[in-house]
Amino acid sequence: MKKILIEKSAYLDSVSLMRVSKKAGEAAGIESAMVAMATDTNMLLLKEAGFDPAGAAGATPNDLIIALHAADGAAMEGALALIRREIQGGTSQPEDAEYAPGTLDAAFRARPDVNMVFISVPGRFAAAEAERALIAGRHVMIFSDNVPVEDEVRLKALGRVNGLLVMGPDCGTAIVNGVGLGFANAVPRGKVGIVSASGTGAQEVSSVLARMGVGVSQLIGTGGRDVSAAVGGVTTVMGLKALADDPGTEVIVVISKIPDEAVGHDVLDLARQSGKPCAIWFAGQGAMPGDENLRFAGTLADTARLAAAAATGSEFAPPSAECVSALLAGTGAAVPAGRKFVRGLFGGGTLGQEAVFLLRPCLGTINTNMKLPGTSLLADPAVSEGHTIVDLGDDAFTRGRAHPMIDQSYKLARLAREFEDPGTAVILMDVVLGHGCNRDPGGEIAETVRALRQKHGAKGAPVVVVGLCGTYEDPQGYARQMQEMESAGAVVAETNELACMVVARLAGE
Amino acid sequence: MILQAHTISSLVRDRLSIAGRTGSVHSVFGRALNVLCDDSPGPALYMSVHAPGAPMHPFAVLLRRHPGWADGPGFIGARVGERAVGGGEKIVLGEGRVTIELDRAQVWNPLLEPLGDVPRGAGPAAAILETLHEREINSPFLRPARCGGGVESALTLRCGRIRRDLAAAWRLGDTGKACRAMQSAVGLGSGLTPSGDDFLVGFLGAAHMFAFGGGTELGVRRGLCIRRSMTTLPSYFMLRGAVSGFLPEPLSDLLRAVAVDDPRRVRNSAGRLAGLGATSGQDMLAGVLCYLEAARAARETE
Repeated sequence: MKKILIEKSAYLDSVSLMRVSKKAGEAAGIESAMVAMATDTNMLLLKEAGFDPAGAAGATPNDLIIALHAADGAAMEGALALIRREIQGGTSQPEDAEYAPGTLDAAFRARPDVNMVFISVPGRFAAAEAERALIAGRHVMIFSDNVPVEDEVRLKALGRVNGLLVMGPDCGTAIVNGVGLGFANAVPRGKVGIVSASGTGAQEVSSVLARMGVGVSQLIGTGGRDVSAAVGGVTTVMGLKALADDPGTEVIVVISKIPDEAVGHDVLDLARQSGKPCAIWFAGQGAMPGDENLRFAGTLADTARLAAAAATGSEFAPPSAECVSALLAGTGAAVPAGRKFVRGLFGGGTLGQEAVFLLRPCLGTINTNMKLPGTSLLADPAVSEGHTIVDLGDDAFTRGRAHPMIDQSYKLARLAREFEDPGTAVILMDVVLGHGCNRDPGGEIAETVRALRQKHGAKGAPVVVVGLCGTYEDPQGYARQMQEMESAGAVVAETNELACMVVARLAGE
Repeated sequence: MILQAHTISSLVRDRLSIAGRTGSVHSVFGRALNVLCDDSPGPALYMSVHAPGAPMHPFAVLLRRHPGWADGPGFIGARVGERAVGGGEKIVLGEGRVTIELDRAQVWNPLLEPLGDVPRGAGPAAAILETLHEREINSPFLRPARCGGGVESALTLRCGRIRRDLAAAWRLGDTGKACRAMQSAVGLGSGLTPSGDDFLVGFLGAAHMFAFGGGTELGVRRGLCIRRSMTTLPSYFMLRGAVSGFLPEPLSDLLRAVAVDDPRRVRNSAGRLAGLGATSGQDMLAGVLCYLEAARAARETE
């Protein structure tokens, strides 16, 4: 049966009309539905579709017509009731409802004052959205990965021309005016500004600073590829200039995976020109003598300590061998006879890189899925060989599942596999806390370690060493996470650097 | 409540120069309200008063953000049918309950300067299609025609026919036939601005940009008869503007990009337009595409 009804002088905006039409069309027993304005052309259209226009006699274009083709009377009544409900409720939202715009343009219309856009969509769509935001005059943070480098170069050129920052692609962490974006720890505001081409590197440094009571003015993520020759360090340079000009930033930190040589020089020149004390960490570079206002750290934690010393006038105090002894004291951790290999499982790629560089002198050859100088590339990243350190955030492990800092399922399965490998002496892991991360990463690891130790017996089991990155204010609870893992038998260090020192001690034994 | 206008269309400003224009609030939505002042002498004054954003209507008045808004204007209790008085530097609704001050608003001219010649390559049309390819298609002018009965089927068949007829007539330079095809699109389809009207705005905008300025324009102006009773009020004023080259800002932006034949710019502008409304942006894109295809075919015939 077919029926046309009129709602006199009823208006809905186009989006609501479309929604009502669609809902009515999908209602049980409805074969066809149209909710539209009663224009002459629409009346003709309905006639063509077999409706009797007499039902809409006297309607004007200012009226709403409802045309329904239903299987029976009950379906018709049901659909009509649904439409009327939608029409009555469609034009207004509850006062407390949060408006969720469907497009960037809608978001800009709703909030024209917004000056930064966070983009987290599948990689192939990210560049187009970022370009739209840049053209609209907004800074951009691209959380998405799998964005072609050509797009990154183009977007950053567009941003530079317009004085807009393009953080990313694959930018995991930023803190802008005290607001954490992506994976960010709860850090206080303060004097230290950070530019980082590494997400977990930035988290480690900002967390150590926070635990030392030193706050962060801005944390500008650039995306790991920014310091490559192709991209040319565009965002790192813009970020550095912004921090140099920022009166709220007294100390600058620069963190980067291995940069292109020319880009690295440019960055250092600019940092020097800023005149502000700068703490620099380039992966694999190691500690170096200072140069004017620049200080070069060998580890991420030392970078934070150098920055804290400059910000507070305190002394730079790196951890000593006694710290390792103190940490191991009373844990009973010892490598069982016959086991000799270190297995590193990292969700944070930069933390994994740092572990490779810190452990290489004591372990010798390290097999890894990260292309790093002086290492051997794993034939199959899913299978460990000898001393192995893997970045589980690599694309090979994240296809079809979330990043291991969110979803630890593969990391836990791999932990079990390494635990059961008779060659494994020590398993080194990172646990990263903060907003956006897994809600209870330490709890999950503790549960797995406890179960494995029960199954295989604590004696003779490999030692699990965890570097815990986070702050006391993080939502997961720093102390609770530490306590859970320690109670399961893991050795928990407060930094990745200290965890590596523990591993080096255990491996040396 | 006193609200400040951020931007005002020059069409509205010129009509407001006649003091004491009276009328009423025509329709109210969450983010826009429409006012019609035609109770007094002078040309009808229509105003589409919007929350902050891009001017989507040639008769637009855009408001500045008000500290009292949580997430948008919600239109502060304005009611359909209540009295509206416009003139000089303010618009007063509901006997003074809401005043919209215009004195500090910047003036936006919705008139698109015509170029007079369409780009010769197929690049812009391809760039628009590429943009649409990534999206869910809502416009009945872009969806494939469906047979088998029902309103959807009748609508898509009719839209397809209009598109074909209009393109064929334009290609042959038959302005009369083209106007008849256009006429059959007025008021067609769903939406407060029905799909057919948005399609026409896109087509007329492109025609204005690339072909008008001589006999063709005159032919269309004479041949295309759009009366207020044929469609909704916002749509009627939108169409009236489009016939004379007064266009929504995102459409003008796209046509300027097409004019310089820059595929990347076209993709950006088309993407922006495609996201507007439920189907409006896509319907306009369909109109632009129809024009570009017809103009290209006409050139090839020459």
